[in-house]
Amino acid sequence: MSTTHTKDHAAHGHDEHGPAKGILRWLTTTNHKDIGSMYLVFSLVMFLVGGTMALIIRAELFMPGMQLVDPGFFNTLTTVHALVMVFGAVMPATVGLANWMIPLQIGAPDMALPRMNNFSFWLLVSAFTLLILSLFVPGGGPSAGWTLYPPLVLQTGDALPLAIFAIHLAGASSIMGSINIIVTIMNLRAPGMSLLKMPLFVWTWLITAYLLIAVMPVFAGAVTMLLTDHFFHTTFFAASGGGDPVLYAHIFWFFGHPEVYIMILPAFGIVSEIIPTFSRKPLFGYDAMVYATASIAFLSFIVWGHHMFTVGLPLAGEMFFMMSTMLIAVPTGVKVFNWTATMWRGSLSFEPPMLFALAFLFLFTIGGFSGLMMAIAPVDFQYHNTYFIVAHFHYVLVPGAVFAIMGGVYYWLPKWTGHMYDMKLAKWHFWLSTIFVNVLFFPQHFLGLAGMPRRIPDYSTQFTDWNMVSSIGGFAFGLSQLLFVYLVWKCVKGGARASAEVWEAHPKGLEWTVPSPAPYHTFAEAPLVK
Amino acid sequence: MRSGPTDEQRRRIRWTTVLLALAALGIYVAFIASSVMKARH
Repeated sequence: MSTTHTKDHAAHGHDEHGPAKGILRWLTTTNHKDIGSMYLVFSLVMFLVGGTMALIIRAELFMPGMQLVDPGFFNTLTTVHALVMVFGAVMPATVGLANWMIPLQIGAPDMALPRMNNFSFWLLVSAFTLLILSLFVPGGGPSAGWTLYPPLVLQTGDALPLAIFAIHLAGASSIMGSINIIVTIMNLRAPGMSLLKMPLFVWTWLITAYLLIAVMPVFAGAVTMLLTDHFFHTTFFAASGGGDPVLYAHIFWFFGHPEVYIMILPAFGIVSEIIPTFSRKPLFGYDAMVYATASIAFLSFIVWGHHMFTVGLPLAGEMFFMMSTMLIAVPTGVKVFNWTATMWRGSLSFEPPMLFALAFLFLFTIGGFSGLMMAIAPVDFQYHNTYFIVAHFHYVLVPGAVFAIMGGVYYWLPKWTGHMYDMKLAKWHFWLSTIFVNVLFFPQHFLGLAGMPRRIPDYSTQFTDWNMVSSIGGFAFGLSQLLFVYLVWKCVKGGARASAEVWEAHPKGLEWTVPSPAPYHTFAEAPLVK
Repeated sequence: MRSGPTDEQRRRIRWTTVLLALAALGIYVAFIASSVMKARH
């Protein structure tokens, strides 16, 4: 894709429209770059909050017996850790990247609905303030797991309405953000940028935004019904009144499985930007990558039953969900092979974004393979509710989604700040993270296969050794992330000047045609895309 | 001055926004309604 510009963006003279000063800038901003930065900072804070909870969990599990926390609080920790990481950390991080990069990548001056953009962000902050506050109310925080399954969740104390209201607010924020992304991509692309000329990151977010609009209201509906069951004596999910608790599980996982792809599709997009740049080749099979993303999104709606094989589904249902789940391996395989083919005979270099993209490729695939194992219904009866599941989804979400997000930050950070970061330190961060994420999660496969159940604060002594290894990995991984925080802070403060292209590999795309740091207002006049 | 979206773009932005918001609201209501129907049986 080549571009021409009617005017030089840098020399456009918008300094008079610069940001407001002080706290007011951040409260009232409608600028996509400001809002993108706020989402990214918010998600980093949530990573640290959720990570601290994870470390308390791993400290408790270091040895058998009860050491640090009581069992009720342990359950609260597992529940809130998951809610914070899913809705407060991973999703907002990809939304932050979308806010920063989508207008820059499609040549738009800003998001189409800038005021709603600001509202979405602050709604999310309110949601997580409520959720965290729910830890301190009488009866303790929510502790039924992130799935909030009834009837267990209905035993929650005063935290239930707070947590459910927080989920509603976070959901509303996500839906508004998604509408904004779709509307921006569909209406504000630079002239000449047809859909099949859009960068893969934009494509993956477009599809993700549709997924969000389709499934977030379903989750909102499910938790609304939980509220009415709790406070208005309806019995949607109470067997005593003719309701059905399994109905909740169906509705939840109809949302929950696409939710996994909501977290991972933008990660695919980021990796699809990084690998071609540092392979110095165009992405292999661009069209196939787009269709594979759309296929994964479609299939994600018809596989939810694989989370519920053990509830007693009809045999035909189990067969259907088993086959449809295995089918997802096809478009996912297309992606993995296309990334590999992009690197094939490329002129590779291993800057930090590429290192994270490569680690993503290997380690996400491990998570994908263990997912295939669980798709086999009769075998899943053995794995269900064990640490094998915990290992699987953490491989998908940590060295999968989180590594891709970190790769994306390392890829675009010089464009945002105008400074190069400390490459040596970034490589240290990469190697420590990659080694210890495996020390943390790989042994959990063994624990699960040996029968250790998930969501328990105590365990039989035969599980001790691998739990110790996993906990050591957890603390080392957690501490390694402080390097990332320091590195980002240092890069924001200063460093060697970054050029417009940033990378010697000559990355392709409109975002690299604007100076670094990207001016506060970009593409006041739309570039022409050839 | 920064050039904003054209009138045509604004119109399309408005309509797409309304359509997507209605879709989200519709799904929310439809799921609760279908559960109410199931609960009555």
